[in-house]
Amino acid sequence: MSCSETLVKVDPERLVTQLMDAKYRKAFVEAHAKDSIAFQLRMMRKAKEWDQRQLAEHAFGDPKLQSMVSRYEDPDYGRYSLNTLLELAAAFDVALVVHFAPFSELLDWDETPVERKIAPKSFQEELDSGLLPRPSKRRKTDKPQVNGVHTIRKQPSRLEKQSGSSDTSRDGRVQLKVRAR
Amino acid sequence: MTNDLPASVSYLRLREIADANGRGVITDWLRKESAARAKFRVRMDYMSKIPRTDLNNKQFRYLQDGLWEIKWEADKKTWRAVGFDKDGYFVMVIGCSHKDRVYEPRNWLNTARQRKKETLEGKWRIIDYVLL
Repeated sequence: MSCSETLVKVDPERLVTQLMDAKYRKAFVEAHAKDSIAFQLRMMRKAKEWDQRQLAEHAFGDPKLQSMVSRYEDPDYGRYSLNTLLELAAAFDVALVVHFAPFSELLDWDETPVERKIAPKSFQEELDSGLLPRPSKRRKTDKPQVNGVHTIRKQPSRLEKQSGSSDTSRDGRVQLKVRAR
Repeated sequence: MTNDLPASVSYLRLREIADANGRGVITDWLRKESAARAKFRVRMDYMSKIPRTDLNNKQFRYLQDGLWEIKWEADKKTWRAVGFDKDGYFVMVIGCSHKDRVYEPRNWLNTARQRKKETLEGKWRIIDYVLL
């Protein structure tokens, strides 16, 4: 049986009709936020063949925090700390995107097949599969200067043009102090 | 029956029983419960794509007599859709909500047993459940 046969969903137009109800809308947003995190965590952990203790060790450096992983895998829990989510993202080497969004964006996410969103690839897996462009050799202009000051060309922003004040010099260069490794 | 899963039901495929007018019991139950309906929709989207053996038993749990429950929270209540496996589908026979120790309907488990028996005797129609 293929996964796509498992579910009968209404078409997007009927979903929008449901979303006209504010209570449905609020619950729909909440469900997507909580369920995505909980199911992704569980499936990413299983993909790595880690138990909850191992994930606690990778993410928080302490296997005794297994109960925390268990709570985070419960889609009805929801009392997340952003910092903890960031630590979990780092443990799996995936990105964490948290932002307010229009409903059209949420509907796109809702329409995305679960198989494609349940276990995102890690940074290295994306590099290896070509989903991320591999950086070529460092360009000459990218090299930091000996004193650690890095210069890049930047167009002044609209606000900077209006106010006449800009850190950008006349030739369009802006100085960013970056400590070179 | 034990809670061992036959291979044919490795993923949740939802169906529900329908009354004489063709109205699904779960669809009807959730019709006026928009928050619970929205949560169930998103929850099932995920759960139906994950092998049943990988599901957390807080969300999907074996009860008794071949009955299982899908459990979720909305509106500060716990909601349950109870059903059984038939021909590769999960056939839901009753919905129940509870807050603290107040169950609605009170006799949900006995009703679930009765409806399962009647369904197997062909007294209820079985229809696809459409996530709304």
